[in-house]
Amino acid sequence: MTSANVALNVRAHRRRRVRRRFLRRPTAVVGLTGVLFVVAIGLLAPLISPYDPAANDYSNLLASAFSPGHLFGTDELGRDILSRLMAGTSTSLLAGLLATLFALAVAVPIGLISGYYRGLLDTTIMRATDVMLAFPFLVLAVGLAAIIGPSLGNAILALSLATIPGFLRITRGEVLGLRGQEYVQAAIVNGALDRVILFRHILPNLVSVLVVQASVTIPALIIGEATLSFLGLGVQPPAASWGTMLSSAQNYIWQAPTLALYPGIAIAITTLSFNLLGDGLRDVLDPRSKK
Amino acid sequence: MKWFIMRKVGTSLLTLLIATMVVFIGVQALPGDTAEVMTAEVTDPAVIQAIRAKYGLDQPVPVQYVKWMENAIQGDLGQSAQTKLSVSSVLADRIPVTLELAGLALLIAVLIGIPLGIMAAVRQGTWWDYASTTGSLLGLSVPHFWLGLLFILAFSVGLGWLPASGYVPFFESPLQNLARMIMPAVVLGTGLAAVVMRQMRSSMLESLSADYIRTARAKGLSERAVIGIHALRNSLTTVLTVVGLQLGALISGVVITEQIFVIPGLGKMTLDAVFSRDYIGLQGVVLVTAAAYILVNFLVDVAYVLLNPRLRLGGGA
Repeated sequence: MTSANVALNVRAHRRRRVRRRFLRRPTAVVGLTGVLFVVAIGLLAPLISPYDPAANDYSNLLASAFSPGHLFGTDELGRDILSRLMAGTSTSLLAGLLATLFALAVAVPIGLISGYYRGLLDTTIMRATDVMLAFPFLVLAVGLAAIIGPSLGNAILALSLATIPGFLRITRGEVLGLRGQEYVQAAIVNGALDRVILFRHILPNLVSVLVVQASVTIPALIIGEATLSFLGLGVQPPAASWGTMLSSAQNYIWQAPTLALYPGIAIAITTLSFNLLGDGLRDVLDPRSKK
Repeated sequence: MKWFIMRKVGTSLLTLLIATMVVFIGVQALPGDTAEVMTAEVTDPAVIQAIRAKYGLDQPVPVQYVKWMENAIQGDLGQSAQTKLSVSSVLADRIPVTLELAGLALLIAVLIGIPLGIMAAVRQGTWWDYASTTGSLLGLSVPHFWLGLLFILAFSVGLGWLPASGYVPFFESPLQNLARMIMPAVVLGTGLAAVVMRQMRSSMLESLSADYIRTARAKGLSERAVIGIHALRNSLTTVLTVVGLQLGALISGVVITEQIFVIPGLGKMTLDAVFSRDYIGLQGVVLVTAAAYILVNFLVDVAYVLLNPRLRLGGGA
């Protein structure tokens, strides 16, 4: 058996073990199911949505739940709540995923370089993350929206900017630890190129930490997008988002209190599923969390 | 120890200095300058130019920055173009409101999070543990502002027990003040409580499996002393760091909570300044927020060393 074959077998075995351990956790499985359900709705929304989420119907304003043709009723402009919830699912998932991916794409390379080369560059980068962290995400997002104008794209940009320092610090911390490991030291002594060490020896060992971190960042950013849209700094009407739905619900809280329930429940189900999945992944993938 | 504190003071001041530059440049990057906002109805370019000259807006940006910093150090953050009020005096009115809200929220977070975290760790694997772990995950998954709306629905619209919004200064009427602050503080505190609880649980579990705990038990100490004195003390340092790191989330939470409950604090001031294009006010409030964040982080770092004798004797981290 060649060494490549052995390595493949070890990897396949490890993957099977991880999968088995993950599936043994009921909360993790519930989380995974929830995430798959929400993603399916987000992807299929344009196909399965009963109405156009932005279509007004002035003859049927603030219809209550279970009224004919509208399972969850209609809002202040007669728009179908269920359709808007579905459209909001796509918006929220898109925002959470894109902002997380963008933050990873920026933070991981910088963190790798910072932790690997250390020195003045590292100090400068860390000082810069300190400064970035001094502006809480909402303050940052509000400022950005003021500079570049409110829109979903800009909300995503603000969310990822706010996420970068955290990812950067985690990556750098891991790299600092891995750099001292014997196999990395051996590669250095053997004269391996820096980029080979970084991408072949260090990066693969970061994957599980980053996956866990991403799985808890996505729900936080979904809440972030809803918050910004609620404040009028994200998705602009008439496009549907859970945040904008809650914001208009607040204006009708005395006439139609239930309007404030549905989008919140949708957010809670989505973020709870992601958090359960993240906890499960952490238990399975993160060696330090073993009890 | 002295060396450690001095170094921390140095890096904190450096961070603050860079933060002031970021704030200043950020506000410069906003579309339109203060002179244009002040002279919205004026079309004569000569008048706009005269106002620019009067407020030093025609100077190069570095000169404007130095002048702004000179004034800021003396406590003068300028005058809002919209309200004509001094930004510093508006801040002085608003800071205590936000401090009260944040303080109450922290208190709630600690009062809920720490005991629940200890219970969950001590009774690991029991229904206590599962219930509080699930509860904390729920606390993390529910957005603040929705919880705020639910509270208004339940306690104001439904039961009519508490006013839905508004603010009364504490010294005017303590009861009225608390009646209006309790809902926002609970809304803000629960999310934080979830984080504190999870951290407390995991660091208590770690402490409880340490050798010194086995020693403490072996020498016959009561379980209460083992948990209350030995394990708790070591876990609190970790929790302290986490609470410090949560400050950013707390400030973001303050912005949205104040908006929902119409509380005239720093968070509402930030949003009002953005929506009314009050750049000078925005500059001031963002600067104060960043400074507060840096100050609290400094205090957390120092407290961490003070609480952890290993770092203290080692001469610093």
